Amino acid sequence: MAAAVIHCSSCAWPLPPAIWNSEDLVNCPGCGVSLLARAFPALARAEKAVQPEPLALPSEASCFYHPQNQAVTSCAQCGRFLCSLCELQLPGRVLCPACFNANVQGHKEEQFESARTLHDSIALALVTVPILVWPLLAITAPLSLYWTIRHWKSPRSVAPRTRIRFYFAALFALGEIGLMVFLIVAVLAVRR
Amino acid sequence: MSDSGYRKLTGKKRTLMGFSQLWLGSGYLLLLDSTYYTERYRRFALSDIQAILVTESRNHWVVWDAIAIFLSLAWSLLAITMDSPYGKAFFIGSALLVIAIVLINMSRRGALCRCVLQTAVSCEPLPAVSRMRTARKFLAAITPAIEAIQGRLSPEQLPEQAPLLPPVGAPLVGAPPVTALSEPAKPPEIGSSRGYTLEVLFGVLLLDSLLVWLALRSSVEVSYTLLPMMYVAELTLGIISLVQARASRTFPPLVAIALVCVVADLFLAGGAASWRAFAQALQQQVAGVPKLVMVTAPARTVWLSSGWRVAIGAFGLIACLQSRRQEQA
Repeated sequence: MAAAVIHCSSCAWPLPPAIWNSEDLVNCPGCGVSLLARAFPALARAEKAVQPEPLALPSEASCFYHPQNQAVTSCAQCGRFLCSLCELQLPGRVLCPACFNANVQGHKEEQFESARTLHDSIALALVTVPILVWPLLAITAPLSLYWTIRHWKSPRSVAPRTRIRFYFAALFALGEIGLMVFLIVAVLAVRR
Repeated sequence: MSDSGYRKLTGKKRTLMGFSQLWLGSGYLLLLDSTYYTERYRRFALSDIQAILVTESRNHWVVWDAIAIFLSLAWSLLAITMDSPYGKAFFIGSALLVIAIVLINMSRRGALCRCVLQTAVSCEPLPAVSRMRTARKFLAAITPAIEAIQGRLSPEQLPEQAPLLPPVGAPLVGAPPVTALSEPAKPPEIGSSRGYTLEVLFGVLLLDSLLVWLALRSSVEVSYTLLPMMYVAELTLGIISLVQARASRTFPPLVAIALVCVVADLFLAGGAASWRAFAQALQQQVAGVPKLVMVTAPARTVWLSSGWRVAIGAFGLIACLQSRRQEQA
């Protein structure tokens, strides 16, 4: 069995299993802080490292990335042979590292992306924040409109999120541009 | 579960620079850290989660609550500038309303906590779970999801006793021996230096007993240079000392009394006396006939403001000296 230990996050003392999974608050025997500890079977599970099989015969299929290793599967996208080190098991298919990376870069593997830019928030900020220094709106309002159109179909947050910010950004940008055009026309008319 | 395949587990834990939130995806827990313009994602496979630990914090306060209450008290001081009773009632009433809202909100949200997710290779803090109420809801939602994948931890899988490994960073000297597996273990006492904050606090109180006398016997300009500086210094040092000396028996009550006296002095004695003079100077400024306004605090107010500082400062310094001698002995 693996070393099943939960350390108190306050004093780092190992918590006795008797207080794991208690429904009520219990005290850490080390520092006395009240805590709730939920333990799961993964805590007692011994992880086995994946070991690729070396080629037994030269005629055997070998891994594209590790020619000395036996191939165990192939990439569902590019068809390259892969050893057990290189196979990336995704739900329903196996990919090689290169295809996986390309998919993540191209926003095709949403559940493996590590960061995203929120273009709708940027577009909205471009029409709201510069109100404090309003002459800047002459630049930022058209920029916001461009940003809204340019990124209308760009991926948003992986968490549920509507396009409401884009709608408001476009609305404000159009209003601000219209107001500025009106002011310029009015000033020119008064000067004449 | 929403159309995107994510189920919200916690609300947004906001900070100045963004927020943190937890979502349940298909087979993993998503920790979302946002700066409002970019988002960072960390995923923890439900099959890899070994444990979730929630430790309760002893206080219910966050810095914003304290700031809101302090600003409300400062706002209520504006009532002194008002002649109309309605004006006074407005400032005091609005300040009390804000304080009441903060206190109700504080009790509604419950105790603060710290949540840590343990995997085989890391212990990740989950800042989105910062209140015990949120923690219980989070555990109620995540535990069935993890157990659906991993199953339940059966009693046979539980070790009889946690191994008495010394915690990371703890000194080995005084650690319980490994043979004491059957006895509940206590961690070694780690002595920490008290520091000199208490001495600084009581020294500042003694110094301020002179400054407050000067401030209440001079012009509004001098008074308003000295008094705010004094009160801020005393309150800050008092709060820090109270936190640092919480393990001691003697000092917390003494520091608490000092803090109460500072607040009382601000609203009832020195601060209030100078505030009247400030209001008078302000009215003259508005009327267009500004002249040098002296703070004419009654003698007993001056003696009271200086006196309590001398008494607590001197008593505190003597107590500190004795405590140091005992520690050395």
